[in-house]
Amino acid sequence: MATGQASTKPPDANEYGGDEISALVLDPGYSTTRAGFAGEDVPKAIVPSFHGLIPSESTPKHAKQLFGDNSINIPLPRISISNVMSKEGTVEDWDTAANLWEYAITSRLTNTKPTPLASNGLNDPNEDITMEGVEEQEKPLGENPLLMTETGWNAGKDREKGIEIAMENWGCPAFWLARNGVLAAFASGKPTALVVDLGASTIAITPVHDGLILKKAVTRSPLAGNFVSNQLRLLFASSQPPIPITPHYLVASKTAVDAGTPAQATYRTFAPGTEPHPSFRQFQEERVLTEFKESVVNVWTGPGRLGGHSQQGGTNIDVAKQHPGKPFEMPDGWNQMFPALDRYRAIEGIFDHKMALSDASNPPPSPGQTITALISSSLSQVDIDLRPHLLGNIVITGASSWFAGFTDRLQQELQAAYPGVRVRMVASGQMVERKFGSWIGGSILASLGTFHQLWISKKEYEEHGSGIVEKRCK
Amino acid sequence: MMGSDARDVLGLPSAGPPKPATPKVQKPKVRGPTGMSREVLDLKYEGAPPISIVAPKFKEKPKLPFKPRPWEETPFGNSARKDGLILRHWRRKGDVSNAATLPVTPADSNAASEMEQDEKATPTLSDSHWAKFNVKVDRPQYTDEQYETHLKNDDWSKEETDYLVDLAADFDLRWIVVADRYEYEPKEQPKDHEGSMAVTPQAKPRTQEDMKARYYDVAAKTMVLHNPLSSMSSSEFDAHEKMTKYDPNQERKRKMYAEQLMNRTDEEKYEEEMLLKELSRIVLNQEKLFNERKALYDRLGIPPGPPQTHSTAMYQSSQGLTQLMQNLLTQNKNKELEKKEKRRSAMAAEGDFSGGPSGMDRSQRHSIGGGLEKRFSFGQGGPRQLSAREEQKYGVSHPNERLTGGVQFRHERITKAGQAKSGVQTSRIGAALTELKIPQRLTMPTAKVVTEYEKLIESIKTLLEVRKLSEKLDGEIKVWQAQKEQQEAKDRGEEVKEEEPSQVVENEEEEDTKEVDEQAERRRTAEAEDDDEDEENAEEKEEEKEDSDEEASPKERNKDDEEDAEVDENFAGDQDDEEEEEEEEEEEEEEEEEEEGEDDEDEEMPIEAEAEVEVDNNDEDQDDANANEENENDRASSPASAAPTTRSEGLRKRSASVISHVSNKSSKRQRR
Repeated sequence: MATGQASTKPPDANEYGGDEISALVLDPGYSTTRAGFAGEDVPKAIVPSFHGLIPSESTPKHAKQLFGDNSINIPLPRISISNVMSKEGTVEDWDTAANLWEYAITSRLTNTKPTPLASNGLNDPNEDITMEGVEEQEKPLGENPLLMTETGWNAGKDREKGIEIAMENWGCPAFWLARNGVLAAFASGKPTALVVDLGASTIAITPVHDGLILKKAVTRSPLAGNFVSNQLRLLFASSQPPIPITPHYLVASKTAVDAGTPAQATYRTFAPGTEPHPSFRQFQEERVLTEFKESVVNVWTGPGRLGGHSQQGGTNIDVAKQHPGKPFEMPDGWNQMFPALDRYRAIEGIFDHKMALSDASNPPPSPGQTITALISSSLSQVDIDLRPHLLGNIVITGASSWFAGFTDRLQQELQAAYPGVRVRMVASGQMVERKFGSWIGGSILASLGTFHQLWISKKEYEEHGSGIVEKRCK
Repeated sequence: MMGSDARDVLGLPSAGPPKPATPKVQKPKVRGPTGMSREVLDLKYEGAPPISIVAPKFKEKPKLPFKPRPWEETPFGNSARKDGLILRHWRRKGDVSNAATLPVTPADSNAASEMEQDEKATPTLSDSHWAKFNVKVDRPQYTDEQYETHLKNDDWSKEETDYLVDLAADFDLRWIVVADRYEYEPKEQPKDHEGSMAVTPQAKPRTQEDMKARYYDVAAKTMVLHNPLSSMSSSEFDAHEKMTKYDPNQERKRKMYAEQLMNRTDEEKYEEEMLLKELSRIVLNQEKLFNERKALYDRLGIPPGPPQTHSTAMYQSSQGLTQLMQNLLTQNKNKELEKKEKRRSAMAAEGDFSGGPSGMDRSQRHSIGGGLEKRFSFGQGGPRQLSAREEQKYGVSHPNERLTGGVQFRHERITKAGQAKSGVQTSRIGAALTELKIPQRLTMPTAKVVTEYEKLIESIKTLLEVRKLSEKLDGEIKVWQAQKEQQEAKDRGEEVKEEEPSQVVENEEEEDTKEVDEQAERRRTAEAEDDDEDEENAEEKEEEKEDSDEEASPKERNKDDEEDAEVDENFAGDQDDEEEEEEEEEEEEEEEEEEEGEDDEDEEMPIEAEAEVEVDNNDEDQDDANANEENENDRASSPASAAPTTRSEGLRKRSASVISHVSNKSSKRQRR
């Protein structure tokens, strides 16, 4: 029982510098919003940043908001899906965002405190009850300091909204706003790093020096996960015959069919007037494409680019054609072996703008938007003394970096671009650490004992107003 | 049974056949398998069950040797914060480790009451364990006047300087971040005239170097203002030095070079790698080369010990040479065989090794080496014309004299030079060399060094000869003096003796203080007293004086002289010899003059010899005995003693001729 005995002791604070104060970490992203207690290694609440809206019959202005995986994937009548975040990765719809975040926090982490029976009004015969005291007690985060993340390019008023919500709506005793690039670097244990964050909506390159981002050198482009999805849509549309994407909710039943043959499935139909909004279908299709990206799409890792020439003299495309394909089955049973070229082609646009597919609604990316160009332009704005350090500590994070072969390819591209410097990638082999890199960094930061002195307290907020964020969270 | 009971009650006879009175409860006799012991059978069918049945019970609570302490969420403050924020963390109840209590200031208690209203009002809050890590950079402090008088800069306004200093303090002097966040916007100039447009001065673009230079300038100056340089601690002074020595231009240049280095192309990088490889190969081979050279030395038989009489004469004939070559060849072969053997075994151990990078290196190196050779050996048509410098470098000489046939080793010349006819002389030369700290085997026997070495040995030889001679003369002089004394005792009265000592004392005093050149002067005054002096002598004296001047002057120019000087020190007792040698060296130029002088040696000699004797004595240690001797010498120099003078005259004449002879010889030798 000796070991059991030891485990009841608190870990020595000097060992890891931790001193937990049950702080919460909230990391909103374009695809998901992560929330959890600081000091834990995975966020407890992972909520899609998408929310469902059901317009009420009587007052079309007021739509019912649905949050969480369990409710937004059900094809409720006239449900539409929208996102609180903009394509830039910053918050667009603050009111809904506040609700979404509160949902994320209270559904899994803290409960709204039940109002004491004496004062909840249910047992009170009188109608006129005073609500002031009640409101005070109902604030969901009255005891938890909150650490929120933001993108490296978040600026101006957007930075101040977070603290307003936390202090006014949730009653946090303390608040802090941290850059997600810095946190991703912390998650990898690096105070100085070049963070390459491949999210759903943006690729962000954030140079971090001693735990501080170099604002002027932050670069970003939209060639991220959603770009690959759009490439896949274009690829499917351009193949002969076009490959249909049928989301799960439309399939009532299906039977197995041979590869390449049309699907034999019965589809669900909706009564007129109750069909879900096209955005719902779009959202559901995205889920299918996510599955496709996870299982089929592969990054060309061969020497050179996919559009380049192989060492044997031919083009790399010819080489790629000889690689094995991968089968994929759509939710309605339609399936096919996807040739290797298509698998490479879908993501090659991230590295090589010439290989990107485009149409009217998907303009071709500019050469400066590729990931290598982004890194180069970011580095060129960093002090020369720092560049080799950054290239030696490239932290890869974000769920979209999970494409097979991505790290190898990036390493190869960068080494070719900087032959004189040693390029080293720090890419966790764990899915969770890549997906929630910035949240984990926040969890580490907020649980540190030395972080206590940095929190912006409620008193400071009341004294200085929301502008204090700009002053303190640099 | 029910039926029989009813009949009993009704008094009816039993219906069935009469029951046996006592229906014996016959236990069925169970017969176990034969051969089993009764106890075993009992265990199976009868007797106490073998397993005791215990009532089910929960696991006992472990008895802990201590009372468990509950955890509780304790509030704590942080002295690093000014706002009295109270956070809570979980601590064991009564755990007071790292609970430095925070003195409750009014602000704290206010905050506590504000924020934790229903919290039990604790009189003291524990301070955060981490507050002590709150360290801040010292911001350079200056007042407006100080700024005006000391820190003014045309390029930087005070506002911008303030901004810079604040920013630097904010980011703890992380200059990279400071440069990144630097966004100074000059304020609008207050306008006097309504009509004129509000002019905002353009923000000057600042590089990191500009900022650093300005900040260091300000910081260094304020440092001195607060704490003058003289009272700074060493670390402060260092910091100040560093700040004042910051050179933004140099830093800019360095960064430019660093950028160039980083932007090397693949080819450049490859080339550099190749060069580095080549360098490492050369370095590796250098060691091998050294070893080979050492081996060669050993083979040629130059033991590193004392000089050996062993000569290389045997190798000077062509026969000897071929023999030597054959020896070397066979040794080489043996060595190579050994090497091959080694390599083979290494290959066997390492497996496939030839494909490795080192194999490639070797082939490359061969190709490179071949190219170089070609360039140098076949590139020129005919013998190459060497420049003077190259000739010197390669040791090419164009001797005018005829060379002796055959190969001549320099080390042989060295050993030859170090040898004299007699063994005693050789060892003396050796001793002199060791005193000079010159190794008997020269470390770098270049042609130049060897010639110099030979010269040195020559001078040593001369020195030794002269020294020998002087010793001999000394002895003779003493003998003659003794004789003279005896005669004087007979011939002369006491008057002269009374006069002389005072002079001697005077002399002694002078000796104590004055330099050698003064000795010469004194000599002259002493001679002035003597009646028989002539112009020629005066000339001679002048020359001597020069000599002694020469001696006293700072040790000079060439190395040989310095060595001589060293000898001077070493042979402190025999300084006279030295002097003589110096004289000789001087006389090299005036050899002919000297020879002329030899003609009238008859007249000169007495005085010269006298002078010499005097010098001898002057330079000797000043003990009483010597002083006495001196007395006598002085007496001897008096013209009154006629007979001894004539005798010593002859001797002196002889010594002078020997000296001149020796010097002639040495100078001739040197000329050769």
